[in-house]
Amino acid sequence: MSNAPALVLRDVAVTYAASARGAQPVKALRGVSLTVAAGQVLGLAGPNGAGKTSLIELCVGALRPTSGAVEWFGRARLEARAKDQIGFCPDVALLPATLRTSEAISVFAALSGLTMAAVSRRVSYLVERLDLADSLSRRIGTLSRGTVQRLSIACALVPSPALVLCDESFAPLDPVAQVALRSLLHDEAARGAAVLVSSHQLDQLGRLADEIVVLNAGRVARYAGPRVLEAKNCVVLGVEALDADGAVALQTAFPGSWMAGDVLRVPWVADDRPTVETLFGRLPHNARGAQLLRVEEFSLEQMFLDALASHEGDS
Amino acid sequence: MTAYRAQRLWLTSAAAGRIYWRRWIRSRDPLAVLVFAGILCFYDASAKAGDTPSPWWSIVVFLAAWSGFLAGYDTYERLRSDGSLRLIVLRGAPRLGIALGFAGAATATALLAVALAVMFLLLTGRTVVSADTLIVLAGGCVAAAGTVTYAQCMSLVLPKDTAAVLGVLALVFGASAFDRWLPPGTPESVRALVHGLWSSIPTTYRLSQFAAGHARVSNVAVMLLQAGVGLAACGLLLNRPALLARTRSEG
Repeated sequence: MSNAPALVLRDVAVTYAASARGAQPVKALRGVSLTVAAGQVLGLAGPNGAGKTSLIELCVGALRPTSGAVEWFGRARLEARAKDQIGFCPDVALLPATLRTSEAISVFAALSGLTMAAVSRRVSYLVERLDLADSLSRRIGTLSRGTVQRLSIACALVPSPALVLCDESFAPLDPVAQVALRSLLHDEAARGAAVLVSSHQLDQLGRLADEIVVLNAGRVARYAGPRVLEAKNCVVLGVEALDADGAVALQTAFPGSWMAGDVLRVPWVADDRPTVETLFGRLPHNARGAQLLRVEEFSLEQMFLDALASHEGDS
Repeated sequence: MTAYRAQRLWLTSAAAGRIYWRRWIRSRDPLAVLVFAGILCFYDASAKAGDTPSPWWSIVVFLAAWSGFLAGYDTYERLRSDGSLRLIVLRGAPRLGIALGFAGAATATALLAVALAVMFLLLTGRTVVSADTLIVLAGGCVAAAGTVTYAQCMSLVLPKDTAAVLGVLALVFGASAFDRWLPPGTPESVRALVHGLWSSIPTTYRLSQFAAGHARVSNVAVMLLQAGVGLAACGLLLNRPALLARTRSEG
């Protein structure tokens, strides 16, 4: 594989044809661009119907973009060799109910051209990490939803893929399994895999991902980079007294900040809570009319809600 | 074809066949095949050990194989409906490999059903049909199972309607060709039987599809339906010489 990022989406749009006569075509994605590089974990958040699953299906080659471009490992076509490098865990586990857990893992290992002998260490590792040892001899049809999901993750990861795509993988898992999955995906990234995870569990995403993209109505409504996700506090500034130029200057002065109505939220990375002096020392001249309202704990949930509210306001 | 593609095709076929086979062997269908073969065997109660083999025993073997195949076909449908096939395809497995794997597994299923039926007949102390006839029938079972399943699985790589038309055409041509391939000296009754079974396949195939798809009946019921239609066709064709003679005399 080349040194190119594992996955690049450039201004991608996906439109589904109208399902019934008289109905409008559904625009699932509208100009989304993102990159997932080796060793990186990108989180994908968004409300139901935001386009998360469409985006993941696009990345796995199940959908074609209506416009824009997708690149896998630097190539515009998803070739068979590239598919070998993708581990996909769908939102609903699609595994044959009559197979035993161990058989399902070995079938997916075999599909990758790996013999059981070659992957036995990897299988043992995944079985241990995902706590599947007690379920190995049981048929998939008799397993709980959470166990099937853990098995689905094991099947996706067994060939040690270079690109891992997980769609809502945390959803059916209990808290212990969620922690185990988070830790496993973190280690996959440390191994060098590029990981894209969509989830509604913002706390899990916040602890796992290096960057988070919030999708809403098929668009990127908010991007939170590593510095934002490291923030412990959030400074809330009142910007009612500022003109448009001042508000823009303020946002430029604080990268990663976002407007929410009449306030600007500034994620604050430093451990110490910001004082009025340190904060106002960084204010641009034309933004001196801003008021420090409060300093609150940084919350992904707040960022998510603000992203949705402002995006709805924009559209 | 590159070595890489050939390897992927082989690996996919093996994996698909494995999934298919395990689904069948763990269902109740093998038991149904056994029961079905047993019922038909005892139906021929007048036969005694050492008697000239009755053509009905050939039907037992054939129908057991056919029902075995049908159970295998059901596996394909289930895998398609539960999404497993989609995941395998998304995983990068070539569709042709899946089709070949399923067709191969269905053929193996049919062969196993033949073996089960023959074993059953042997265990009950009956003389099995002659070796020549058995070979012809087993070959027919394999060809039938392989052809129909392959045609159905080709819907993975071809438009569904095209695959269905190709499947039916293959069966119709196969029926006439198979009839001609029978060795010289084959009794007329066996020839009629084989031809009748071949000819009845497209009808029973469509009927079973209808029953399975619309009425949600069990596999066993579909197998019985198959058997009924197959037996009726065979019964008519076994009496073909007599019917022809009567028609000629009336004419």
